[in-house]
Amino acid sequence: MLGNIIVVSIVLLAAFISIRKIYKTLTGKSGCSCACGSSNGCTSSCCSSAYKLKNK
Amino acid sequence: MKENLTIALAGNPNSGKTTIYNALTGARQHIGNYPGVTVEKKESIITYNNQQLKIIDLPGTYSLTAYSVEEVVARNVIINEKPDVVVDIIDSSNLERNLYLAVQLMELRIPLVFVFNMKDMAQEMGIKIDIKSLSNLFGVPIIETVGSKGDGIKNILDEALKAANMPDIKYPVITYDKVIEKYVNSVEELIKQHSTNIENYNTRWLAVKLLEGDKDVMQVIPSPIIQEEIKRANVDINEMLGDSPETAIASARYGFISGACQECVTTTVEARHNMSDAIDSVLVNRVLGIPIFLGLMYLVFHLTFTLGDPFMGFIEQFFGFLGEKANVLITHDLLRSLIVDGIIGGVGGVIVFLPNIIFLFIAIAILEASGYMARVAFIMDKVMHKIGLHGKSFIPFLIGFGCSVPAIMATRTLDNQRDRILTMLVTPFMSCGARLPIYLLIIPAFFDKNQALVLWVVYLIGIVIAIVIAKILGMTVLKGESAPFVMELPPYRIPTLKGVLMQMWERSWLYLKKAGTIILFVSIVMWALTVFPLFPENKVAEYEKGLSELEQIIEEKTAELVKIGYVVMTDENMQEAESINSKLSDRELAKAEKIAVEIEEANMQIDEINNKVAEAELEYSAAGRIGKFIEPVLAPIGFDWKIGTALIGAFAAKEVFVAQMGIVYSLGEAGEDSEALRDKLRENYSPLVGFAIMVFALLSAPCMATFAIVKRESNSWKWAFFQFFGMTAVAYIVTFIIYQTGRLFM
Repeated sequence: MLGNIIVVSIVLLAAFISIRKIYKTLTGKSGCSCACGSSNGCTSSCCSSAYKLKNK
Repeated sequence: MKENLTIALAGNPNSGKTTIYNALTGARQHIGNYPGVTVEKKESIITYNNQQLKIIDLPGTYSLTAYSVEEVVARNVIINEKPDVVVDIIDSSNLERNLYLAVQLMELRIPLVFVFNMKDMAQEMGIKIDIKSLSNLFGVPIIETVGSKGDGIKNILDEALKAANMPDIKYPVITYDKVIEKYVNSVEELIKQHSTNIENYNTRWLAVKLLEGDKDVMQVIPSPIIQEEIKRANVDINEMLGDSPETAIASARYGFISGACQECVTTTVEARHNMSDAIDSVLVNRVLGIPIFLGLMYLVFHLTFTLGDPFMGFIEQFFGFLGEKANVLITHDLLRSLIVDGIIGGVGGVIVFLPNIIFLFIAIAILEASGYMARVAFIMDKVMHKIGLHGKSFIPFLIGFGCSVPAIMATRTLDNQRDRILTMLVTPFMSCGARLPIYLLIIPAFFDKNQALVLWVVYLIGIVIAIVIAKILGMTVLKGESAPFVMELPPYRIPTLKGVLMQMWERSWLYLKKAGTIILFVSIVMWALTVFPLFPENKVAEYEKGLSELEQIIEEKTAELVKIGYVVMTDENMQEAESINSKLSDRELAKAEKIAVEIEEANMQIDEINNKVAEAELEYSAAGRIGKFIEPVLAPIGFDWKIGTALIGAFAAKEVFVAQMGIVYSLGEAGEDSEALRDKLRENYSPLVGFAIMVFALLSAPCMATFAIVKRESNSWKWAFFQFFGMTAVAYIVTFIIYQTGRLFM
């Protein structure tokens, strides 16, 4: 019984976090997936610092 | 003396105009270290020496050819609003490129002041400028400044006031080749005779612009007689010089600049440039450039496999050890399956490729830092022009080999919206780091002897498809001409260890971070979808009918063998078994071998039943039902439902494909924990299907982060959805062609 509760809890938690992450990424509220790993979203400063995009 | 003067600040993007504007006016306009910060003109009124001055900050432009919106805005202000003086802010560390705009301003014959900004950077780079000689040569006052520190700013206004009140202009006239000059004169004469409303313009400038094919100027002077003369000039100049008038005129301007710089600029790093030129003569060679690039790519992929493999073994062993321990320690069936199959099988299956990722990104970092990647964009310039883009669009492509998200952000460097959208749409065809684990899983499983070659082909397919799709889009939904751009070639440098390691670490950390977050959580969800709803016990019993009889047969037969004294031969006990069995009589030996075969057959039947149960359990699960639902669509490209569910999970992050295949096959192949996923793939699919999987993963819809960034950067859901469905359609069509054609030969 305890084992089942642990499994269900882990799965529900993972589902919640996955959906939240997908929602936040798609709505642009968070979820920078580039190398900078910024929690503030993919701002130009975030990605340019990570990828040295001097754009010259 | 004039009162209420207007001073316009012009200059190349990123030359520090806005910094100087802020310093002059006390404004706080946004400053950025990338072009395009100032896209509209900004104005401020200040009082200086009891005079009211209107200062206008123009958008950054490389020339006055009006290819982009910024150039049009800047040019219209200079021509139509006729500021009393134009101050051209020039980046001293990048003199020759910046002087191109300066020379074009001189051609307008308007009062000018040149500000050589960032003189500190130029000094650091070993550039020495003889300001006095250069000022005499151009006939324009030149002031040296360091905008960020405020050095020399005050002199700008003093010189601007002097220039505005100067009675006449003494700039040298750039003389073009004889044939061009002939037509400049004839067109200028025709302009004077046949045009009205041209009082704002210098007629020689108009003539040069018309020869350059400037569309805006053509609208100002729509005379058919002049257009006829321009057509004649085009033919004549092309025949005489072998170049279009536009190219010949630009070459003459650069020649003028080059000559001036030869006279007045010395550099202590000349040797480095000379060495760069020597290397470029080979690497950027018209014939050798592309083969060398393709050869280097092949070498990089070869090293990725050969250097990464031994380290992969250690990680595999580590996860194998974890799996064994978890199997022993966790007694609850579901929890054990979650930990072993879902988490260790899923996330472990992704992390195992970390060494290959590290070696690939070390190689890319070295190529980038050395200055070679900038050359690749240069080499590809010609090809890119053929598809309606230019080499500059290849820079996002190159960044896309790492990750599509920053690559799409890098499209900001492109001047016009059409080029930007087009580049944005095809950039995800470049194979990003997240797709690499899929190739690293599949290539050794099916193409063991040609690993680097197959990876090279996959990357090449991405580049070729991007070019083909860009061409198609450029001819249909995104019609238009690309804006020309001067490609810069930085000097070659020996990459620093710190720089290379930093970049490698950024990529590797991202990979690990993704494995520990989104891949972990999605793997758990995928595991749950692959296990639940649980297969009903009564149905399991139906499948397992006869299983106990088979087990009993094995037990009895094994007992018979023991009685005879026969030892079944395995890899571990070969010598021992041979020595024991050799003591048996021929009759005993024949009987024992017959029993051993019967045991083996019974074991095979048990395996078959177990596999059928596992398959039925998978098909009964939610993932199985979704997979089965989409299977008819995937069948023509060679995919079964298992691959289908893995591809759905890959939308969250491409690596999830590998994780899901790990989960499906550790669940599906009951009792075979020790077998690697690659062996299971080999058992279930052909090399053709393996290749089709890679092509589909490469070309299909990008991950959700890319989808989101395309929406944000294009400011339109339309383009994000267009890319999502368009790429998937392209992936399906290409995979279909490859799979169906492959089947004819295999």
